Amino acid sequence: MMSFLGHKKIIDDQDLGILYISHNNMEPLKVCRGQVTQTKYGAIRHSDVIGKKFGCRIMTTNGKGWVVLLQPTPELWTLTLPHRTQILYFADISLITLKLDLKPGSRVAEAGTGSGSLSHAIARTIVPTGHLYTYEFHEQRAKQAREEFESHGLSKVVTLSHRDVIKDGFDDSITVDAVFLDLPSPWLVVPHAKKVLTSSGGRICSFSPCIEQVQKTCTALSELGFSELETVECLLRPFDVKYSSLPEPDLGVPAKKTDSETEDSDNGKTEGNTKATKECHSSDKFQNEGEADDDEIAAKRAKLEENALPKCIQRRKNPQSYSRCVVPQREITGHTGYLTFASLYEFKT
Amino acid sequence: MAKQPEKLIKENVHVLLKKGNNVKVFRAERDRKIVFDKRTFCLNAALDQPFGTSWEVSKNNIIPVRTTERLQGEVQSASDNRDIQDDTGSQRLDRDDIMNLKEQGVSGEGIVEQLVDNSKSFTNKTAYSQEKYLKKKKEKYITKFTIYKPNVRLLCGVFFNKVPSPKIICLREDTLAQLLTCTNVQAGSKVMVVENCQGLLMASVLERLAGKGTIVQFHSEDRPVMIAEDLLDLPCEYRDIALRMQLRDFNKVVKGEGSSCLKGVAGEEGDIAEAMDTHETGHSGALVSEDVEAQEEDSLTHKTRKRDFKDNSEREKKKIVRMEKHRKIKELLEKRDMDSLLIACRFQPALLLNHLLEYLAPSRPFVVYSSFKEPLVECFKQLKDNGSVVNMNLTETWLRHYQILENRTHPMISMSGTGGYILTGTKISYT
Ligand SMILES: C[S@@+](CC[C@H](N)C(=O)[O-])C[C@H]1O[C@@H](n2cnc3c(N)ncnc32)[C@H](O)[C@@H]1O
Repeated sequence: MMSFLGHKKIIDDQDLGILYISHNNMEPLKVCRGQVTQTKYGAIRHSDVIGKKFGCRIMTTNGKGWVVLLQPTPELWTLTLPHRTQILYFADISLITLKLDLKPGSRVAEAGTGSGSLSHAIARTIVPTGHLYTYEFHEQRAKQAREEFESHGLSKVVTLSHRDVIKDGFDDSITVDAVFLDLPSPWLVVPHAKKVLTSSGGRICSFSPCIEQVQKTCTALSELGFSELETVECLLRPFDVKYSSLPEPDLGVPAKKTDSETEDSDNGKTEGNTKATKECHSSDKFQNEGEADDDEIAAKRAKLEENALPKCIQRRKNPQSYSRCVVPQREITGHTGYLTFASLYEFKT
Repeated sequence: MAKQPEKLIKENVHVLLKKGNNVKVFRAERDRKIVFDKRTFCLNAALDQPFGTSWEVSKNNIIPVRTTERLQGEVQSASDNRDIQDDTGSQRLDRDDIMNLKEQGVSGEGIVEQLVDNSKSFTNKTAYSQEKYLKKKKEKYITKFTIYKPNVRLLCGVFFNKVPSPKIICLREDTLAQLLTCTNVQAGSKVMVVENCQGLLMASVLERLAGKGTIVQFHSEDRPVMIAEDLLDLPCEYRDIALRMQLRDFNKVVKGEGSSCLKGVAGEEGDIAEAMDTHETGHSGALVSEDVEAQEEDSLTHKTRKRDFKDNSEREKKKIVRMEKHRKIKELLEKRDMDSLLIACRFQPALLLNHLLEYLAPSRPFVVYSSFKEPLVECFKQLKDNGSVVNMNLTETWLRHYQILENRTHPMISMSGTGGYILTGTKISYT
């Protein structure tokens, strides 16, 4: 059976994989003998995939490009899962996992399940002896999530309950080491959380997009005796690494000829009316990676040395003015939500 | 709930003392004097008490205190600060008075109370400045702290607040968290680690494997730094799954003699390290060249040489253990079937990554941490050019803390400027 847990080498019929097509372009794929899947680089026959290793290149039937089927991990799943709700992403998930002190054996309660993005990551971290109790009051979502956990091999570690945790709380028979809340009124769940949370250092985390929610949650937490309150925000800043052109300015000064750069002297003249920085985007069709990858194929074909430039750059005016630059992405996620953490220690005196 | 044994402060376990931002780890030993917050005291009273309890220093001992106390609303306060003047001179108690109180054995709490009673300006302050005043005085006169069981989260905070040096990487918690998550580390994984994080990364991986799976650690120091593993009191069965070897042995152990691929990674220090290592742990003559032995002679004092001589059979045993370990590592890596690769070290990562990536199975993730962007761009370039990796991402994170108080909620005035950079990706293969 397919499982998100553990490590699988060979692709079998009926396995779920994550199909890598190009950078930032992946989708889940269930392997079914006899089926064919179309990608922008051509088709792949599932029967060609069965028996191969996860992570090896698969040529498309027209020979024009390749794709890769990866073994699913919680991180890949987060990037490709069908959205039924807002979901949590890598940076928040990582911090939540660490700051809830999760490790193999941890018992965790989560509300609500939503699309199960976080649930997968929690399950991975707490296996084999831990357990995740997750709650969702939306019937359809609960059903879908339960089916997913089942088919992803997580049902031994995850128990899903269809329940309104504000009204009915958590299952009173459980005791957990950590509680995670991602729903509109977390402060109303804090009293329920306290009932199931171990009082010798249990951890709680609440994720809320709005500061007013945080305010109310913090009030509830401190009134109920939680300590070590802490609210943070964690934002991912991705960078692109690409070739950009930064030509010499034309000051009308004749350039000095040096031993190494004898051809540079006409730099200024020809670049007079070019924009200061120009990014290179390849139209090379053989290549099947995305935008930031323009240089890859050229580099491969030409077996380039250290500082040689890829062909698509060499074809341009003034290729020498290009160099690899690190560019922060122009638009990034500026806010996901605030994470509030706290501990529960209570002693009978 | 019944008290679980690991939730109690047992003699000889490590404990983390926290007073505000002042955090320190000690071993809980009976009658052992420790220094914390400029006070000297014993932890005797805390032994066999639960973790999470709070204590106050009184003379050389500690007494239990209740953790929650509320100040807001209890004190009379003026509504604004129009009547407030400079504080100097408004306090009726002088230093001698305070010394006197201390000698009489008045608690810190008691001293602060007296200070409030004797302050002419206190009642004229706004609630906000009263709170600030109390906080300041308490900070000064009361050593009140909570004892926690050290864990990865808390230890990461302690290490991160240390002054970083070129030799030590201080990972910020969000970064450490991402290293562990993006490499899909889980019980049963076969992991490769290269780190100079005082053992924190190793310890976190060991905790996430929980005794199942394997870690191969390549350490650049003469012996692996295990500070974090020790402070966390990780159980033996967790630590036993680690196979550790010197980075500079990589070439001869893993690649076999002949080629000299990784030369220069550990640099000259490596030679010295090896000299020390061979002397400390015993070495296999076959694996060590003659000049290293000559160096070793130089670096040894007469005394240790004599001891070494005595322990010859001990050395022999260690040598066998080490060779056995090297054989295991070689065997394991040669399957080229490792599940995760984590690099957070003080060396140029490109060469290291290039060599270790070879042993990662296809479809498995790797991560490289660096305090600088440039070395990661180098890695990025290299991997792009050889096409062995997909999903490469170069990122950093912002971590912003908030003060949440009624009508006074805002981001903290100062924040950490960098948590470093990470390069993540997934290995692929041609066939
Ligand atoms: C934003 S989503 C959670 C997303 C999830 N953390 C993830 O990463 O996929 C919030 C979910 O909580 C559920 N929910 C809201 N109020 C609830 C309640 N009182 N009891 C149970 N579930 C609730 C909603 O139906 C929704 O699916």
